[in-house]
Amino acid sequence: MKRAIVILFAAFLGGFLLLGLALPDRSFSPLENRNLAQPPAFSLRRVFSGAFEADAEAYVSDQFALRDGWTALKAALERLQGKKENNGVYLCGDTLIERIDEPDEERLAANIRAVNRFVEGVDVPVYFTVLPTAQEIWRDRLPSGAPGADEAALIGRIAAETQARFIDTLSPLREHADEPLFYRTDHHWTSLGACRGAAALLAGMGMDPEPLSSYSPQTVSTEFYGTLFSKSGVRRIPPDSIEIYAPEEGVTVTCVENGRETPGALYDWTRLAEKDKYAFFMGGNRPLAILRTGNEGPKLLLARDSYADSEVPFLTACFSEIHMVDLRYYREGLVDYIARNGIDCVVISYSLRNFITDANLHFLT
Amino acid sequence: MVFSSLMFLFVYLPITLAVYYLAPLKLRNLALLIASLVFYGWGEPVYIVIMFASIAIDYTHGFLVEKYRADDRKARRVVLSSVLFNLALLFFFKYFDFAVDNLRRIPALSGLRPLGLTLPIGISFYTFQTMSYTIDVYRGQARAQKNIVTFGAFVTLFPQLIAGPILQYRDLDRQLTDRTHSAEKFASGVEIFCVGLAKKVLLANSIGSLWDVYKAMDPASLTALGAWMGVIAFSFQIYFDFSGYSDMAVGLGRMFGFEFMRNFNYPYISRSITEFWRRWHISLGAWFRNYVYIPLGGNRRGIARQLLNILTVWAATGFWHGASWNFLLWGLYFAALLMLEKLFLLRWLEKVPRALQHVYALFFVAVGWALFGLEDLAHCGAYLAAMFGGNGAGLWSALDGYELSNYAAILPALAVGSTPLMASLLRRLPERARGGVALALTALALTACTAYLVDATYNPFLYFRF
Repeated sequence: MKRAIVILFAAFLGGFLLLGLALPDRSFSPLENRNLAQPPAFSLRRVFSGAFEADAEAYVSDQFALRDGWTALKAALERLQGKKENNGVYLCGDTLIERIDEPDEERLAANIRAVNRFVEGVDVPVYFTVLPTAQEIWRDRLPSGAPGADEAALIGRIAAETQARFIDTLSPLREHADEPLFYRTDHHWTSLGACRGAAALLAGMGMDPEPLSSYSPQTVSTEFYGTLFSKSGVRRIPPDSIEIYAPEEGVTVTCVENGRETPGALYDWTRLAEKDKYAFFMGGNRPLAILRTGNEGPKLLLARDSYADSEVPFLTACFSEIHMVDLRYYREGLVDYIARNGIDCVVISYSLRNFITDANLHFLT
Repeated sequence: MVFSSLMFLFVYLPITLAVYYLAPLKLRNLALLIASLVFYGWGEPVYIVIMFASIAIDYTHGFLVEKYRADDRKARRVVLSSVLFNLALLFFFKYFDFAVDNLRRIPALSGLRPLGLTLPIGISFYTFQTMSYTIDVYRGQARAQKNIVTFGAFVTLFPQLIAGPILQYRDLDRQLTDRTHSAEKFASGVEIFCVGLAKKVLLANSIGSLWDVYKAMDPASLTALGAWMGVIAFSFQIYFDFSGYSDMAVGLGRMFGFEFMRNFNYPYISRSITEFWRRWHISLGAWFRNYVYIPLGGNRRGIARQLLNILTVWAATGFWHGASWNFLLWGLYFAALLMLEKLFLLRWLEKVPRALQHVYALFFVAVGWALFGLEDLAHCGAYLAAMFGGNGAGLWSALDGYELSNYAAILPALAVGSTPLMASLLRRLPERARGGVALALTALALTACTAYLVDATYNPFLYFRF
């Protein structure tokens, strides 16, 4: 039996070492939706700075044989202990809800200041909304006593401190909390949630949103496993379906990246074959996308996060142009942009999750 | 590098073991020395220089002590020089900035600037260990090591380099040149290593995140239940973290043919503080007893001198744990308890029921961990107030209920794991069954730990900074 233990130990450690060497490296993990670390570049300089060591550890971890199986096993072991969250995701039956913690005070204050500085610097109306997350809207589904930020209080505070025209999305979403406003396996809102959010936004801007009944929803995928599915490691949970409400016809989309223009679309159907199917909306992250709707109306500049990707189909009817800017990638400032493009009004739309953590809001000005 | 990492388990260790066992016997210490240098340099490559300096300087000191054996004055000077060198190394890296930060409050010295150097890992451990070498040689308890490779292997020996157990040279002297390797020894090493790995990865890391919740909270809004849950979580975390790491060291030692001393002996079953310190971090206690307490006169020079010696040793023990006032306070807190026990408390305790003795010891140990775990003294004070309901935040909250339900399964496991219960159950099994159970548990531990390490979002190592 003593020998058996030695053999087990040697086979386990050596086996996974050899297996790791034998298996080809993966460049991307669809499950985790991120690029995986590649073999570290070797040089004496990098060894002595510690960069080689750090890269090597990331490489061994990312390329570990059967990685996805190990993370699923860990999640299962956590569940077995009766844990109600794993990797910052609450397990609420078939629904996964991302945990949002109280923000870093400095970051939040800086972001509120960045918006105010922008408002002072432009002479078009600036509307501003902060979207609550599923943690707030579906508070009743969380494990009892679950901690997490008081989003209503935070949104109230932002509304009080901002000089922009603040639009409340929290109350309208709360009124419909019993509807599937958010995906069960992803942190984004569903098209229905986006529709409710768009209605609140347009009403706040003094416009008339189309009623929900005027749309005829269509299911485009029934196999969507989102970011929370990946993060939580939970495997036995039914997939989400993705629906679209507004048609894509009539809207031309131009994406601009590094000065180069490429045609885009409201819906990128090729993305439905990939893991991160939310990228179906607008084709994923875009630094700058210009929508020409063919409709009458003002020109809108929308400084936004990814929640707007699924919301913008509900906005096209009210504007002639919508310029969507993602400040994580578009860093040239918006003040000149407004003048150059004859923008009539600005909407800053962020999910609370991103507004309290994002470090790019100073690129507004 | 830390033991509880994929890099160590699945790259470094199999390669090192293969090289070690393929090397001819004569070259094994060299293989060990090189492997240990790689291990140490992995995190902070520049600090390998410290290893080379330590090897060269302590080797020379040992050589000189033996040379001046006939001339005690000179030999003593060499010992003093060795002790000063090691203490200076420790002071420079660990306490210099702390001293500067405090001295700067004096207006005349406000120009002093801290260096902001990262602490070389394990420096508190290996400086103590190499100090023991020259002293042991001087005392005639060991011969000076002539072979510099063998001596280098002693200084850098990776299984216990960064977190102990703190070995004394005389215990290792013979093993360095003459140790046995066998399948039985290796297998028992694997078992102990896996127990330690499971303690660290499955238990300490898990309960550590509960302590993090309460440690991060504003102590003014901390409920009494929450404060106690936090401190109990930290008590478990630090025990399973540190004793797990020591077990891994002992296990690895055996795989390479060494026998290290046991560092923990179920400290939480103690019935007095005196007993606790015989069971907690045994190698550090032994070091201080051997090289400080006894040379100061120990208990042979009357009770007043003994109390003073206790005070000295525990102030040093506290300060050894970190360059911060709370660690000193923590040491003095135990010095006070030990002195009271020495004077009358132990005699009183003997008369009360055993259960009460356990409650007494655990209570004061847990309060001690609050002192230890919170470096900011104001935070620490507010936290202690919360533990005793002194902040008006109430007895418990919904958050406490949530956290308690999350940790409901692991808390009993931690409690049982702190006692010898499992080990004694295993011993009662018939020989054949015991082997099978050990094999199954080893396989389970390796599998579960790998899953947690691959998914590692949380893998701190508490004793890294000491």
